[in-house]
Amino acid sequence: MRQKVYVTGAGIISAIGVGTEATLRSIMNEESGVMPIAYLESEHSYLPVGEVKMSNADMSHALGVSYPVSELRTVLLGIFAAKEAVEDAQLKESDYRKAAFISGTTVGGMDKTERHFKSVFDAKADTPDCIELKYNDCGYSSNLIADSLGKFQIVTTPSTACSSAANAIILGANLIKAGIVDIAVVGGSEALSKFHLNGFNSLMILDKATCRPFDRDRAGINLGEGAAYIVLESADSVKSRGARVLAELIGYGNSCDAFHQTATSENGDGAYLAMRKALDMAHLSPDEIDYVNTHGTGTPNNDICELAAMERVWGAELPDFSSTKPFTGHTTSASGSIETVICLLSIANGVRPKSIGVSMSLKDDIAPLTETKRDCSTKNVMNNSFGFGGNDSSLIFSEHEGTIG
Amino acid sequence: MALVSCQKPLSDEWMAEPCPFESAYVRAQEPNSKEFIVPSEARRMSRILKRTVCTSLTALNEAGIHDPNAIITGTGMGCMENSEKFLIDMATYGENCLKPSLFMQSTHNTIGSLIGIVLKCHGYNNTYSHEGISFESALLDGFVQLKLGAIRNALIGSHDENTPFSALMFERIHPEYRVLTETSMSAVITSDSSNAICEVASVCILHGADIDEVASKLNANEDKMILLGVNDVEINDNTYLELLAELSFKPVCLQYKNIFGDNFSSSAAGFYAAARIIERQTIPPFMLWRGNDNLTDKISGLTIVNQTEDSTWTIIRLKAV
Repeated sequence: MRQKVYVTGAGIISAIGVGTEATLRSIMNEESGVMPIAYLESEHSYLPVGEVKMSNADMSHALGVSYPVSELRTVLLGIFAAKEAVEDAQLKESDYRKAAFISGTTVGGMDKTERHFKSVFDAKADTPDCIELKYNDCGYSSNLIADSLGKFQIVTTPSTACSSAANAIILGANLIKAGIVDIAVVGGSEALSKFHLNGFNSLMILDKATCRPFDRDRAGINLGEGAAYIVLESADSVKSRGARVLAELIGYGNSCDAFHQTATSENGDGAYLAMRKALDMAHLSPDEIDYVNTHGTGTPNNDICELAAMERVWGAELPDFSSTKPFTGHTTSASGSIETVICLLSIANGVRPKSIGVSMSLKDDIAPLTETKRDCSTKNVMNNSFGFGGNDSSLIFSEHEGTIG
Repeated sequence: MALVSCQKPLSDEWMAEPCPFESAYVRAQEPNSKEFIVPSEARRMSRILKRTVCTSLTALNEAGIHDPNAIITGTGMGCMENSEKFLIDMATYGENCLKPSLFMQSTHNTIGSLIGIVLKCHGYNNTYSHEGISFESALLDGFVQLKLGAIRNALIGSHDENTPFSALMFERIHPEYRVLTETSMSAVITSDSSNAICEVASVCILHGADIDEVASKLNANEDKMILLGVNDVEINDNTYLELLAELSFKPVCLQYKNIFGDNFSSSAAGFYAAARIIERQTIPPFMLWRGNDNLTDKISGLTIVNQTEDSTWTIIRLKAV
């Protein structure tokens, strides 16, 4: 029999709000969180980004944390979202030792590294400041977030750029199916850093205006930041805890485009295979998918290739789809879980978010949702995340009401 | 399996004649990448990327598999050399005129996706970046997917480099640590036991574990011989001695860091050494650490036990086939 994996909690922080309620409100009100840079110190202050509207000091104060957590934005964001998720699932202290915490990130503490790098490098490392560069790696960030919640059995960090959080969700589901853990808190966290803002800028794929995924004149990405986690759980664990089920994770696929480090193949091979694998695992035909939250970054390359891949899956009749990146900015390693939580909100509230910024669709006969659909029963939802290096992943969540038993 | 380290690359000469460490920072001996990569492509690759291609292709060759179902990579720090160059450029020239090539080859998953691109492999591809358990995370992912029947085989690797600048920082922060090294290790795991070097019987990660919890996972029957991450640094080795004191039996204890040094992927070198020891039924004498009295003729298995700075313990049980 197919092992089922349920979602029993969710937490989120992004440019459009702290928590699921604020996020839903922004989606319903069609309010974007993308604005000129206010918190990140960068020469490119004209670039629009999706920043969480709090300084590190604001967040540290709200969470009651001190150094080094107070210096690590990825960790601060992660703690906000992860706390909401485990509280939503009502996990108890005794639940953690049979649980995994799997958190995708690529930036980790790079924001702290870049603040201290010059002084340490100029001193040829002959300075006590060296310690400021030491604990900024991805794994350390995940440890800090995990340890702020409880004593997890397994803590690890997928790092596949923009699909990191989606791959965290996949590992968590596999660990549950294999009986290694009963519960997995999975997702990702990523702060904006000068490093990747400049990296994307050097690739000339940042839009100087608000991004317009799937628009004919789209001109690139607005970077964003945030974190989101969901709690995955086996059927036995859901029953024994009497947990409330938000949805079921019914399918997932991970496939490598195997084409280029930063570009997508014309036919979207990796994207196609990831969606196909997810549908096969879910035993769904494509027409049973009600809504697709696309990767939809707004780069000329991604959007055309993602559409090509979707046409290979669905043919001419695509399901409702949109990109929510104009709301949140592209939250890179966290996007897989941030958009997963938006998908869960979509299922729970019958809302299908619009794709902001489309004045003329990229293709004549295919358009993303240009109006928010409300009160619209939404059962099966797909979420795509594609990373640099062609690390492509697709997840399918299905409506599930209440408890099981 | 294939290994690039401070020892002779893609070779098992270390089992008979290991190269001694000549300083506290020893870079990897580079493999001859011309055998694996055309020069025009090699020129665009950093050291860690070349090493990864060499170990991956060698391991796949040994396994007779050319299109693995999955490529799963561990790396504690990713492409450190390129990340550092990008940071230096940003510190020196500011935020304009930065080179995209450095950024493109600086993310952690550059390594794993490069192998996907080289092999044109559309299978599962994932990368773990979690300090000293990056390798174990990658292995656990592949191991679990084999158990679930989601894949039949996987290329598992773990790769870490260390730059001269990172070595300077390491020395400053950890004056007690002796030898900082680099590791690139690739291994193919498969559900088909024919031609197997050994069996991966279990993979266990215990985050922030107490000694008694770790001890409870080991038993006299399966863990007669264990390979430990001891490195001659008192504070590190004492925790392993505490573990041994907690056990109700006396295993033969081996070490590997005296040959391969320390870095975020060094436990992958330990995995490689353990598998070769089982395959050849030979223990290099310099790897014996404690409990030599209990040596037996046949090596039926070897359990790899490592502990990281944050008290995460990992236990990988390898068995003879």
